[in-house]
Amino acid sequence: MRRRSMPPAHGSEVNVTPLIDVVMCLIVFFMLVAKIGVVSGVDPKIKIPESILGKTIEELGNNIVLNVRAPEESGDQELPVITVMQEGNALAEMPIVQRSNGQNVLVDGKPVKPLYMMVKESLTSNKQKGQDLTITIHADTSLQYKYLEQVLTECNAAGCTTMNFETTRKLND
Amino acid sequence: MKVSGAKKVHYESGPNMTPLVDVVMVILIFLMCTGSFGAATQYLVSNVPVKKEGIGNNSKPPPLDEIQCKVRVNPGVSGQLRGSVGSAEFNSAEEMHDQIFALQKQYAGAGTSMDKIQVIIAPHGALIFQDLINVYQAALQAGFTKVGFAKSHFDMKH
Repeated sequence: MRRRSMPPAHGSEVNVTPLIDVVMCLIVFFMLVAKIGVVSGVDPKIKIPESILGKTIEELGNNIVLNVRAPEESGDQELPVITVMQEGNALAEMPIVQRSNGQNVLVDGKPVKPLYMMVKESLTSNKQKGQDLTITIHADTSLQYKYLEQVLTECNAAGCTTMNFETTRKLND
Repeated sequence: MKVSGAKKVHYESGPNMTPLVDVVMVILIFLMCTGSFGAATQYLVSNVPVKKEGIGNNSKPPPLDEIQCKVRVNPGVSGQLRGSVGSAEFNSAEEMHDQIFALQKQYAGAGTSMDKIQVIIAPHGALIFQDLINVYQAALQAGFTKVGFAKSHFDMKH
């Protein structure tokens, strides 16, 4: 009796070539689009306003980001809280305090340099190096002007003449 | 009779892709987890920050031939803006937009250079940042080049 031999085995594994194609496309897409490790210092919890106009600045250079938040409701003082960021590092988080004559002020028991002094010193040191310093205001869309005004006034008094209001691009409808 | 066993299976499968798929999947998951995809960020550049009005003016005195145009903005009911552009009142963002454009046309028609016109936005203290940006943007869109901000006011008069 003649036995039938087993049929020849064909490549029975799953064909992964289309999978690799798709995955490679996804990787290339993510590598091009995603911002990894880019730290600009902005607070992602703050929802910034929308605008149609606006410049896209590829290289901000020497830049200080001021994350401006409204004061907490429980607070006694009507002072906005700001986080001062430079090159992704927090220089200070504090309520706006009155400009002082070169003295630090105590915030929660810790000496903090007022915004006015901080901006003035940064402007001076950058000027000595022959560099410009820009200030970016990263404020919440619902922040009232009475709070923003204090930040603008302090920066203006410190000698800053150019400020960037950070916005997101709004599609023109 | 000799019974032959099953033949050895030779897969014509080429190089083993499994490690490659593993690594690629790990890279993909890493990128998906760590990447951030925000909306396009842009910046409205303000060259003229807060100008104080009246007594205590600490900014440089304006040039003699400078024309000052005041845009007074108050928060209105149900999010609508109210205020005035010069002496003309507006009760919505659209009206504000139209009046700022009309003002620019008026000056342009008279041959006034935009460099000589200082637009001062005078917002109410409770005006939200988004509305302020809308007014500021409308002034820039109209073609005004010098736009600044006044100290906040707290009355709802136009």
